[in-house]
Amino acid sequence: MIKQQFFTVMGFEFMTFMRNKVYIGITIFIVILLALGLSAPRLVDTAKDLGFGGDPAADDPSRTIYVLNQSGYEDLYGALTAGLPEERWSAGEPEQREAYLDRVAEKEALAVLEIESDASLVWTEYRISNSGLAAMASQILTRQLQSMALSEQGLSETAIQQVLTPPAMTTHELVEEMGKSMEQTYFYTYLLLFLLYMTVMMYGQLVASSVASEKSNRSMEMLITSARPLSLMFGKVIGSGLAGLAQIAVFLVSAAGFYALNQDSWADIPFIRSIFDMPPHIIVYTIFFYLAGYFMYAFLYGALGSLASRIEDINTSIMPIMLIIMAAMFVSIFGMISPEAGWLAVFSFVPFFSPMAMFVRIAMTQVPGWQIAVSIVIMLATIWLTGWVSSRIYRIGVLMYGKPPKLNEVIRILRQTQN
Amino acid sequence: MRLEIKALSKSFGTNLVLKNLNFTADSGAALGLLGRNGAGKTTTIRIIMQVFPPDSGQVLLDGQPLRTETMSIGYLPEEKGLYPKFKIGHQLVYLGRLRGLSRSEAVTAVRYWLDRLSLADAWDKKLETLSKGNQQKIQLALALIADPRIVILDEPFSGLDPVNAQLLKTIVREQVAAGKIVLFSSHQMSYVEQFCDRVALLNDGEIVLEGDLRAIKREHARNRLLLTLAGGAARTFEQIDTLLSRQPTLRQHIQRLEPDSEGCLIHLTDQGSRSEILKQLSEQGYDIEQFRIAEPTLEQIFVERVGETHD
Repeated sequence: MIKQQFFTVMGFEFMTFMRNKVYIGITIFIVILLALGLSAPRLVDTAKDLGFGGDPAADDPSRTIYVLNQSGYEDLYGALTAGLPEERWSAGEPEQREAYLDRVAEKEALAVLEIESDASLVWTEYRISNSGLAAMASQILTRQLQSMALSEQGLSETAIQQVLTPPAMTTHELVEEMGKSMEQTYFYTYLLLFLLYMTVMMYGQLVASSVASEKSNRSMEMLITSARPLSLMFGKVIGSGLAGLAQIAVFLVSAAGFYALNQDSWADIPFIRSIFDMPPHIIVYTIFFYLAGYFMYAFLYGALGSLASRIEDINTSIMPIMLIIMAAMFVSIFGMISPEAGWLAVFSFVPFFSPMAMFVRIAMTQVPGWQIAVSIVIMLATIWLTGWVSSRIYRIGVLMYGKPPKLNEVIRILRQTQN
Repeated sequence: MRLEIKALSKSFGTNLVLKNLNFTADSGAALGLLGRNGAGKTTTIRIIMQVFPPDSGQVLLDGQPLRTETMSIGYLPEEKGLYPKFKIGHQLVYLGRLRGLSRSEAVTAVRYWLDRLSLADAWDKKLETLSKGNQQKIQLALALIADPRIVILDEPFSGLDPVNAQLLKTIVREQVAAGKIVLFSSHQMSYVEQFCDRVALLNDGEIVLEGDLRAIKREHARNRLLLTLAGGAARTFEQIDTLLSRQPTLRQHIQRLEPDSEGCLIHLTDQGSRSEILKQLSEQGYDIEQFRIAEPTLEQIFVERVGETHD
């Protein structure tokens, strides 16, 4: 009977998500975002093939860059047009300087580049964009000036090339040998950590507000007289958790799918590649730590939801858990900067912090198997304990109406029901 | 079947809500569970439904402790509530399954009851789109879908129009006739009088009155006389009042007089004085149209028994 009740509640709660238009809408929306994002290079290429866009700077007057060359070196202008041929360069008259600046201010031209007589450079743009155009122009001009100076000293063309070519530097990480390069792991760890944080927080809150709304619309009156509180709470928490899991699975599968379809287009972008080259066991850990983190918090969310009589009281009731989740998130994000740090290792055993902290460690470093095992045992014990405490609070909370009780009152009531 | 509530006590914190509560309810006869707000009715119902345990005492069914796992109880709570945004068929089937029905049993039962309550087209409607009275009928359907052997109805008539109230009366009578144990709680005493053969009156967590409704009424009627004199109901009170001021010996038999739509209600100090009063009236030459024992309404008994201890 109790088992049937539990599965009935769980199925009902799960199906409530599946029938919820907002839930379905958000899921589809994010899948569409993933599809568009991951197909972006291919879409851009297709658009270019179809004649959209093309080369923007060449025939767009508002992309004009006026060059006022007062250095006396005519070659400098040539170096710019040769170095950055896609840009719309224009050799300007120094007397017209004010007029050019006005055009830039009116966004009729992109920038004014002044090369002063002492070879110092002034770049004026309406808003310095992130394209690095100024820096590239500066680099080209510097090189041209250096090359001209060396040529005056009588160096040959090949000698000048030799002097001006910087030594090549390749970077190499020792941890990479163990398959845990910081460079490779950082992005996907960050993304998955964020996914963990969002889903645990969101589904936990949904559990809390669902319990509170059952109280406020008094359906609790029927539920509590139809089924055991334990079936009601565990059914709800686990049913909602499964809905969360389903959503995560849809995101991961569709991200992987859309990436696979567009794999060739991403070949040149290492950081996107690093995300999808993540080892498969990371996905298993993501799902495991989602479940561990979710259950650790969701039972408490359910219990606190049961103490609120109205939806409006929810926010104050669940504030303590929100703060803990946020703290766990910050600890883990800071931990990502130095994943080998001792303090992060400590947090990877501390209940409520461990799902995220241990996930960062596993994703970014080599964690000894026994540490993972101990951490998981502590997590399971914590889940058992929060489930037990929460079901006791829930049993009393669902029948209480009025002002949500203070923490010490809750403890007093719990003590009483013990006896 | 016989449901026995034995020596129930329950306190929340320092607040003693039920004090050694005893009453019984038999199948085939509805029991009216009455009491003022806060008298302990809901707490009693919740203990029967095992939402929480009593501090002491027992709930017995035919002498055995009642187990809600095996004995289904249909409950229509005073605080009505279901999911306002869910489709009616969907949530009724869900709650039916929570009470142990299989999916197909639940679907059949829900269809039957929606049909019975003239709400057959409500299956796919959201609860919030229904009128208050129809929502109340949904709540009744929910109480009965699992064909419970014990039915607890708390203020079932609230929000029902006369036609629906009639339908509900028919259904409640059927449940009683089908040998169910029916507990009926309401502040509308007229309904209680129509259905209940027995009543249990709670006050401050104690039973102050329990038993057969007719016997209780007779008990409370002994000291009440209804008198109508020729000349009309309106003048009777006046005439009796004048008579009393002239006859101090008669006065000592009478507690007080009360005007009534049919004449004058006389509260006696003891029932033996009935014949004394009749004798005096005929000696004085009054033309008596009506002289009878006045059975009090349940409402009057309720106010008399419960009002005094509170005020």
